[in-house]
Amino acid sequence: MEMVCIVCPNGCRLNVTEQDGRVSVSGNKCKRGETFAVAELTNPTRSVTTSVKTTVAGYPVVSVKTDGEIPKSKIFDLMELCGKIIVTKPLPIGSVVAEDLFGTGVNLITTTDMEETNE
Amino acid sequence: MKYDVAVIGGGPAGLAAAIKASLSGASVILIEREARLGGILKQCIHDGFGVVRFGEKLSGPEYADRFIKQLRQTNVQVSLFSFVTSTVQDGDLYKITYVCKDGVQHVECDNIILATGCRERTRNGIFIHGDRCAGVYTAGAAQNLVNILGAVPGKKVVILGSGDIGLIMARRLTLEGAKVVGVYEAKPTPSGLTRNIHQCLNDFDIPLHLSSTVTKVLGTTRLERVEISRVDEQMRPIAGTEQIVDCDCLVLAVGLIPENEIARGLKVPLDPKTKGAIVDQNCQTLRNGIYACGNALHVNDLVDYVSESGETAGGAVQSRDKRVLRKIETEGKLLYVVPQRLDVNAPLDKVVMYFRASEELTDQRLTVTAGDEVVFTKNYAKLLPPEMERVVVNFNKAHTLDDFVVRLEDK
Amino acid sequence: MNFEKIVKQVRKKYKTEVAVREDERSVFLTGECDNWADVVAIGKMFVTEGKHVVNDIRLKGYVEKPERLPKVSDNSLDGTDWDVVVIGGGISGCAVARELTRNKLRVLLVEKHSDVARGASGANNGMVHAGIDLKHQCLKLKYGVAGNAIYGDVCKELGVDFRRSGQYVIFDSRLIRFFAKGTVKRAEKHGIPGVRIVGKKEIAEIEPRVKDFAVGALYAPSTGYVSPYQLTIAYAENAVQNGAKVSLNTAVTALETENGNVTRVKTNRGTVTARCVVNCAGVFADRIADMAGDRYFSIHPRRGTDLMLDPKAQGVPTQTISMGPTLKSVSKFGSGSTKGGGVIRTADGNYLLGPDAVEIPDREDVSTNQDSVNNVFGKHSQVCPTLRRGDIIAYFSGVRAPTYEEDFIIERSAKVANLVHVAGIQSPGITAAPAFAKDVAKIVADYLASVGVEVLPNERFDPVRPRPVKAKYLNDEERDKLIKQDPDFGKIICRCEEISLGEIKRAIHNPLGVATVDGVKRRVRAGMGRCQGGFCMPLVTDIIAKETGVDVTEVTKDDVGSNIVVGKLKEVQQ
Repeated sequence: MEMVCIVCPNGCRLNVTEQDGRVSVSGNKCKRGETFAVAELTNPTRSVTTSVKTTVAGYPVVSVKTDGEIPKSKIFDLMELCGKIIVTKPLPIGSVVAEDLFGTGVNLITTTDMEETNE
Repeated sequence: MKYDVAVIGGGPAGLAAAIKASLSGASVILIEREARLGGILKQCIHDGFGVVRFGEKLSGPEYADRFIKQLRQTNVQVSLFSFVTSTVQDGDLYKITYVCKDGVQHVECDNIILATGCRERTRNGIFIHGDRCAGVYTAGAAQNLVNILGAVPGKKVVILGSGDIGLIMARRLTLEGAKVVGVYEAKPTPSGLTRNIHQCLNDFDIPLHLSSTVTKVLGTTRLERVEISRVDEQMRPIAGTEQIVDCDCLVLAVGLIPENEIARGLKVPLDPKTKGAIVDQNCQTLRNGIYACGNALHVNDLVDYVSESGETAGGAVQSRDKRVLRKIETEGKLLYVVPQRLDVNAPLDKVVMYFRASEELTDQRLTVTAGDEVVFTKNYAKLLPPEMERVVVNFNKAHTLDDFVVRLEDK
Repeated sequence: MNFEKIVKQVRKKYKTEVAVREDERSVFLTGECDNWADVVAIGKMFVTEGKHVVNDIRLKGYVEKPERLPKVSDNSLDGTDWDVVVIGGGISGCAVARELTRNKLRVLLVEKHSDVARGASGANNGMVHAGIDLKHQCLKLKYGVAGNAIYGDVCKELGVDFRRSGQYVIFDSRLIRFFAKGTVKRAEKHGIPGVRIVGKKEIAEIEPRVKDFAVGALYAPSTGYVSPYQLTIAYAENAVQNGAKVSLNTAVTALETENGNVTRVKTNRGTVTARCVVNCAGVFADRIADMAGDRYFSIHPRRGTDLMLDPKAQGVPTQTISMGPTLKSVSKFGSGSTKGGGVIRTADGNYLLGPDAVEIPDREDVSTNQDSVNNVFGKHSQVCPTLRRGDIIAYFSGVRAPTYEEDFIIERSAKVANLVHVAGIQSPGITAAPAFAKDVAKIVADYLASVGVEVLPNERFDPVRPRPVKAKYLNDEERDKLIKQDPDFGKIICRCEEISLGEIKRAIHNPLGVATVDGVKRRVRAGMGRCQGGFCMPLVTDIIAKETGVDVTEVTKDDVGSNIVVGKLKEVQQ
């Protein structure tokens, strides 16, 4: 089957074949393409970027991301979780706002430095 | 105050330019019109930035943060929420006036680096007619509403334009509970990266309609419906194909235009193809001491190259050699090539050139010649106008430094 | 009068039957037509000296859309009593309200939109006409010339920019140039100053971009330019300063009459009583008249589209250039009208092309379409081939409110004693309003005095409305001083038009209480530049929310219901 690797902006067009439980991949420019193809067939995962609310002046919301990938099927569960999080003080970039999402070991971290100058 | 260089704009291009100029020993002032550094990256909270430069998938604010932290280590004078109101040349000096909360400020500098970014094409720019209701926003404005203000611009959204910004907004709005009824694209092929078609549309079952455009918006107070038409090969709407789609929000991701108001004020010659300044390999414009970089120079699709051109400009400002400029001609199906000039008195071994094909092409060969000599060739299996290409050319190979031509032809 | 001959002509030309009825004031028409242009053309055929046309000829299959009413309903005005109720917040209503406040009167102005100047007054090119196109004695001429003469003073008082930079009407043939001599003579007779003919060589020097087209031009030095909506706003604000009440989002839904007088005015915000009512309802003026049982004229909506060009565009004439009549247009219409419009440099330094004029059945259809854009651009690029389509940054339409007689109606009703009509106000309405508003105020005062209301001068009347600060136009020292007093004037929010936070805050806290994104745009131009608000709209939305203490979800673009966003993040459900 054909697949597009979404790991990086190169977007390699992958040719994936499965024979006797063994997956072979071609068309990838790097190793990550192969890993991606295998995961996509067995347990597709995604990194998610979104935002959570804050009560800090000048920041109605602050941007966050998963610091790894979570199962694709959990994306909307994550969005629901994000809706419940409220940041109450200025956080430095990379602060963890939710730990170990869905038992994956992946954390939700902030991606904006709220301590930067803001007038 | 007098500086060696004033960088105008604190987005990715300006940050990189200011850091590089400062590291090369120049005294630098960075003038940013917003309250925070980072430019448009502040609202680009999706990831995929920095793959080329850092080998990592960063979000926009994270990418900007790396440069901001680096900038703090330099002696660059940063002036935030500062708006340039005039730039005039006085002999060898440039005099810049800007306003900020402290009043009207004047600085003098030997060089100006223009890193003013780009702006979005508007509804009027593409002649979408109909009512003047709320709910019609450019993708950037919609992105600001969502990612900065924390508000949702619509519950049922139509997106026009399949460029990356349109695709990313489709996913973003879907995640926030809106229903994206479709992404429409006037061209017969998608404009964004294939990767984004997959992770932004396919992952969420958002339909993509090619060769279709929005021809009318309807609504009294807020948007209620849009009229969609099929388009012909010249992208003109085909009468009789109109179809009404209910929605309360229309997001327009229909192109970016380099912002060059200050360049115009300084009478910097612009390239009608890029809509940015005409520059040499050091990003210096045809006016001595004025540089242009990033999206103000030409619209990039990767921020990594925006930073790269910023660094090129920032690294060149200390040079005092007299320039000898030669024109670089283009031939074949090239939308544009940057730089448009070569300073043959400056280093020529690693000239970075950016280009875009003017249409979707397969099996192409890019050739760079100086007179009769071929100095560079590269083959491409596929070229797409939305995907900018970058090559590094060593012009030192050439025996005669004149009659430069970049040619794209069938292999 | 015998209309049989005209009825026959209609039958022959338009293949339809028209029934005619007349009374002392009007000719009433009924019938049916296949297209709207015919309805209007037939109406015009029945125009006779001394009578108005009421045209009830229907367009076959056309169902008129219900009037757009504000999405508000409360009792905020209920039970209040006024000396004068002015209906409509266009240039006419606002100027009349302001002139009324020179006397000690309780004045209420009702406007159905969320701001004043939302109809034709906000969507025209702002030309203050010299009046050279008006041939015969009519109210347009009387008030147009009088209005033009006092424009500078009025704008100075009201703190509005006005530029009297003249107008060139270009001819493409020697014959037309010959006819223009008549226009010069007529202008002299009508008291229009300084009109003269400019030769081919001279016009080519003044405006080289039109040299291939022009064989000469008519120059009218008294033509000027104003921002029509800023003047309307200024009139309304000055009226409020002097004691009038302006109630926005307020539509008149019925007028109750008793013994030939309007006694009660019903609105969506309650019923009020009034000694006198002034009808300044623009495209709805005949509807308001009808509500009072006084329908003796018809308004036929006429849409005009203007194109706005990037102020930095190259190849745009620096002078205002209007296309004069051509041999073709003269032979077609039998008259050489030298109307306004053309390539116009506005009071704000922008360039406008237009307008066109299209008869439409829907009074509120201000939508734009490609035909109008093409027509307007095509016409003017013929005169000035250096214009570039890519320089169009915006376009807008407004619906004018002409009567079939194509003149203003400014009079107290012959049938309803306390109802004053200010109707059929179209071009040159912006020019004429300062002059006729004074007369309307006098008509009202005379009427009130005649029914025993004591009309005393308003001793506290202040004609001066403070000029809004425009930081961009201050010199460096003045601007620096202003920023030192209030740092907000140093924080630029709208980058295209260089508008500061300080200016935006002042616009939000205006005397009319208009706190909308478009309200800010109309007052200080934030969002009017080449990015069309792409960058500043979210910022302005946020500033409005903060300044007025409402949630960002409550901020509207314009009228009630035009909310910018539909909810907060994480709170939206489909």
